[in-house]
Amino acid sequence: MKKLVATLLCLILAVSMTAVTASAADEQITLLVWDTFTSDSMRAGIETINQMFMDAYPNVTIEHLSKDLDSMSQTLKPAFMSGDAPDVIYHEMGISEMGDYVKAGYLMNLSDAYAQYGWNDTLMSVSKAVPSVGDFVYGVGHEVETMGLYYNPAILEEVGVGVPTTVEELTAAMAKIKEAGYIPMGNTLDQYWYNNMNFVGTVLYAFMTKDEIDACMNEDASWDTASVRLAVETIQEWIDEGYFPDHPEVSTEQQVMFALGESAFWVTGNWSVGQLSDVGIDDFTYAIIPFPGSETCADGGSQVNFVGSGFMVSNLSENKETALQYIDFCLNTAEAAKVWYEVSQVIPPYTGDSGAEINDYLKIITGYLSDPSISNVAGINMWLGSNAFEFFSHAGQNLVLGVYDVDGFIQAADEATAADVAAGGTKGTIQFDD
Amino acid sequence: MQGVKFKERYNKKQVIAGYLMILPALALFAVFFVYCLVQAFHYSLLDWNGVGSSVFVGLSNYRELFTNDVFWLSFGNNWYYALGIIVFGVFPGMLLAYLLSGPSVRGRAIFRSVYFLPRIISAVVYGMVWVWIYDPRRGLLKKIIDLFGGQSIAMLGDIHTAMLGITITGGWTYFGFCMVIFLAAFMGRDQLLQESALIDGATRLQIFWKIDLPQIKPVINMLIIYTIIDSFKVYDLVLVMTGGGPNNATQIMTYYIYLQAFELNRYGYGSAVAIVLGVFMVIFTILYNYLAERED
Repeated sequence: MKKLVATLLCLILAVSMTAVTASAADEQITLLVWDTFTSDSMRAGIETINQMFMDAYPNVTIEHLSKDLDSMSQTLKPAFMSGDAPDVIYHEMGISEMGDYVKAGYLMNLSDAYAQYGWNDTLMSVSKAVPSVGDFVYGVGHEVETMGLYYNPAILEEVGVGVPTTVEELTAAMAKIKEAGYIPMGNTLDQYWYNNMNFVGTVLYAFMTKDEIDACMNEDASWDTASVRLAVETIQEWIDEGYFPDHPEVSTEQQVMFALGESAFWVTGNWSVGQLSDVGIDDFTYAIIPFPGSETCADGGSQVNFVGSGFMVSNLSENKETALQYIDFCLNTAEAAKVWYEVSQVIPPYTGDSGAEINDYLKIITGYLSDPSISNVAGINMWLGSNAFEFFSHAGQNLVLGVYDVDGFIQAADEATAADVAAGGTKGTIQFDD
Repeated sequence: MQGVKFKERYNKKQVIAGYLMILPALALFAVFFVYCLVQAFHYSLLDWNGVGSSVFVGLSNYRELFTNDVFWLSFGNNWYYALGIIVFGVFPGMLLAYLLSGPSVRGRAIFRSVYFLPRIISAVVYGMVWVWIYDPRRGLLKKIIDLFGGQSIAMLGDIHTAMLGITITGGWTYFGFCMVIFLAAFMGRDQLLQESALIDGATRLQIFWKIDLPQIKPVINMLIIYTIIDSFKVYDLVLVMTGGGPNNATQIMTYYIYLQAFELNRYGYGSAVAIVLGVFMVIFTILYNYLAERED
């Protein structure tokens, strides 16, 4: 009798365990995702990929909510504070935006996930470099962008100048282009942070060595170096010589000016490829090269790269493994990369062959991004603290207005960095429990 | 005596029913205004980045803001904007309303609608339109200056003129609103007084100054208070047109609060500025009402 009872109990236990295992595998999981894919093309891309993921993982339902950047910033804090944060967040990843969340312990460390899913090998390095503080990696960057020097070959040919290979050659070329009646440099240094930061950051990287950039980025080093002084002096010289459009302190439609053949050079990023095609001038052709380094820079200078935003996982999530599978699917598969290229017209960090059909300009840009001979480094807006970010948001405009000379510029930059250091808001000073 | 009358006219059930009816509105007011106000004051005493732990710092945020040059610049710019709106919005609106209120004006409703139109357009839209108007390279202002052979100016890019540029834009959108209110006030004037004055030989200017204006004085007072309070809440126009620049030349209180709280993650300091702004507005309103009543 005892044997029978024991056998029955074993049977019941075995059956119940099988049932539990089966239910775990079939368990329906709802993954809440907040993203900033608000444009039509980005939303179309993510909705396609979400559906592909749900087809591949039938037990997972993706609930995604798209918000603009400001709404995301303003609603994410209360969501974390109240314990209602989404499982996956897609948002800007700079330390000025996400540093407070890292400090508060709200974001999952993805170091192990990079090894587990092979992201270290298959994704562009900038994807990991931007959302990293030491060994703590709080995200996976997406929408890879790079600054470059866009130029009008017809103007260069007409004026008789070659394609510049150094900043010094660029300066000389601009002098001739101005004499010929064209606007040499079609950028404005206006009220918009990105028009200041992207331009000033690009010129800074042309003069600073990679070690100097790394010291500022990770160790809060002073901006008072010979290379930074030369970079600021160069921008000041271009302003003084009138190489920018009239009143560069006020914004204008730079892409229109460039497409109409009014300006010869334009320092911009690959998002402008779409803008230039939107202008709709059929016979307009242009060329793109990496922004040339300075002859004075020991290592030849670096290119400014960005990740538009990236995926992060909430530490409060109960579905972390599924969240990681989702990110892996979105960024580390050829089929998703194809969607990002073709539907959303952005460059994903995936380095494998996606089989996507992309236009010639994007092919050139992806070539530069994966060229090992080019030093690709995360742009300053990706790692500045909030006070330094604010300073560089107006730095170019303030140079135009004469608010700063070179000394004033460097002093103000150092003061802003010092304020970030005091607040523990830089990569070098941020304190958190891993 | 009022209390006795009240008791006589309403029984207890009616009084309770009355209080019950205002309770939902009162509850909403308490939750969405009083609670938020108390919470904002609480935040203003903290050093807090919006997430994670906070540190109680007492009044140090207030001490800091009173010694901060940009705070005072913002405060001054708000006054500049408020007074500018009175000059470019309220006065033109009043004059236009006076002209349109004449008995011989035809098509009054059309004028009223046309002039009111800017008020119903989003600030982002007309802000962008005015950015183009001021564009020193291709803008309308440049084209007008070119006609007279002048040199183009960067209205929004010059530290000395940027605030003026924003104020003119604000006035342009505001004068139609003032015109509608003043028109209603002028239409309600006592015509007999005007006719008597005319018979007594008063000029148009004398009638306007001594008879019309005193009759609409409560409207003027109300509109000036409303304008100043409204001007201290301006935000979107600055955001779109200059972003507070160049070099903080168009920094205003609301944008400064946003910058501190949401861009620099200083929720405590930003809340302190918001509390000071609120307290200032309450004091200003009480003082202005007191002076207006005493004058009456």
